[in-house]
Amino acid sequence: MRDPLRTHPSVVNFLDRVCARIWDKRRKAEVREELLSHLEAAMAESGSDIEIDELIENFGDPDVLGSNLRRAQRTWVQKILRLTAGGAVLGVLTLYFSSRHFANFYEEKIRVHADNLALHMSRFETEQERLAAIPLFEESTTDLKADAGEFLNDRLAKNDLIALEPEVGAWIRQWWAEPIPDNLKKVDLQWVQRLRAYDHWDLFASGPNSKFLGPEAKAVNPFTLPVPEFQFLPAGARLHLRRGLDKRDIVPALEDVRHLARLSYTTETLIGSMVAIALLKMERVAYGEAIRRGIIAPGDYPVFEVEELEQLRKTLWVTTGFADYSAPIQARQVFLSQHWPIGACSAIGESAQSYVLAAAYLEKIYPFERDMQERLQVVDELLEKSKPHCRLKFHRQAVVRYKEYAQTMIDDGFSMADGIRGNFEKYRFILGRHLPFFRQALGLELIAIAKPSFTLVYEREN
Amino acid sequence: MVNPELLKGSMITLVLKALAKRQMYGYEIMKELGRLSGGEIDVKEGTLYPILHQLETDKAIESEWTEGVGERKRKYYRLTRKGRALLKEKASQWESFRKVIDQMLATELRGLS
Repeated sequence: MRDPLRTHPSVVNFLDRVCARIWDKRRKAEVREELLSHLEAAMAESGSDIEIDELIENFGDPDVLGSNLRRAQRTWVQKILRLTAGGAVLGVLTLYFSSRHFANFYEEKIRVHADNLALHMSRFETEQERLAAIPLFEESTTDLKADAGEFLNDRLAKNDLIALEPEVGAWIRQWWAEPIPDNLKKVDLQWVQRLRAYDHWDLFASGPNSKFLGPEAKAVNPFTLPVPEFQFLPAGARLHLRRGLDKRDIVPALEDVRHLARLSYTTETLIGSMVAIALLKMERVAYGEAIRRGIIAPGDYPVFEVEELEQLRKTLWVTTGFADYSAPIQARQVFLSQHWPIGACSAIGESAQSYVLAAAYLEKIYPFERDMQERLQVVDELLEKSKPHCRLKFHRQAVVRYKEYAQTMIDDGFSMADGIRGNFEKYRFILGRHLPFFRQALGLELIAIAKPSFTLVYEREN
Repeated sequence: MVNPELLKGSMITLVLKALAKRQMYGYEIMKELGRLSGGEIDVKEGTLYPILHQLETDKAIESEWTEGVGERKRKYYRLTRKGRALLKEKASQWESFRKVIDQMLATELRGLS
């Protein structure tokens, strides 16, 4: 009875089909033996050869049975591993296609940004030429004699004015007319006059940031450097101007504030440039108030016109958009071929800062990968060209050692974002280190988000 | 004959119950389930063997190949300690389920009458 059953064509076909679905050889042999034993027992009971096909039919579809048996033999660990592997493959595929989509999206955004820069190029150059004659915005690394950083850098985080911020905040709206709050009356502003002894302000040569300079300096996240509390400068300037108005001796106060604006501009930071413009606007308000009070006559002091200040603000802002590796052709056109633009040092500093992170994601790590480092070449060129004009010591150092500095940003969880978003950013950047297509999309995204917003000033006007 | 749709989800309990008394091989289990149900439950081979293999993978039952004189080798299954605990749990779940269904149907029937 045993041999005929084992060799019966229907049985052989049935068992072959069931076992074809089972991959493990030992399991396959066991299932074969077990089902044969079942058929034998059933045959022994019915005793007729004709019923073999009917008996086999009772098992249902052999392919389905084989698949069900294979699944039944899978342990939980195997099931979890299988699900995990499936999930990982699906995840990588999703990442791949979404990365391609975002890479195309950001490339288009970068292209549009370059087109916009080209469109605004002649206006930008005209405005730069007009503003280039203003000595306040000259940039030079030569003839620097005294660094206000020695005096200011250690005092930036805490000072009388920051401690009195609630009073300052309420008073500043009408600072030239409203009575000075009692607490502000006691504030010592001798330092505003003392700053006249300095001709520039370096945030790195002394104070808390000085330890980040030099070949032995540890890499640090450029976005988390101790930032000066710039807001105390406008607060101090208002109080100083107001005291000048009240003493009817405004010109020295106007000169002090003008000098303060110059120092703020020489920090080579965008915020320093914007604070400089804010200080010049205050100077203008104090000048107008001094005329109204009959302290001085129109023309006694050379202030900037309101339109000129607005143009300065826009141009300093837009310069940041031009000094960028997202549009290398336009950047070279502006920075490498004409007179040195105003606002160039802070603009290049901003570019260098974003270069540090983007560079780490635009380089080729694996074979056949696309290398996009040439996009960043322009930042090296701008830094080289800027040597007679800008100090940018920290930025030069960070660009050379960009890998170390980029790592600090990733380790910090991209500290510009907090909480869940911070963690999300962190893992996105870590993932970018290992997946070529994801890294390239991320690199393009970093380029695309870095600067295009700076030219919106022009676009909004149009 | 019990509607096979109603049996879905209860087959594991029934197989465990069949094996609670003694060890059995596949064909024997099928016959035992038929006997226990008074012929009301007809278990198909295509349903039984995947359940047996799943329970074995989960260590609720264990198996042993035995060869009697003049007989083909047979794979005997028996309940493990884990299988007994599982049977107890499944029986308790079934009891709760049955009570709820009975209660609901009784309410429905009262409403109809």
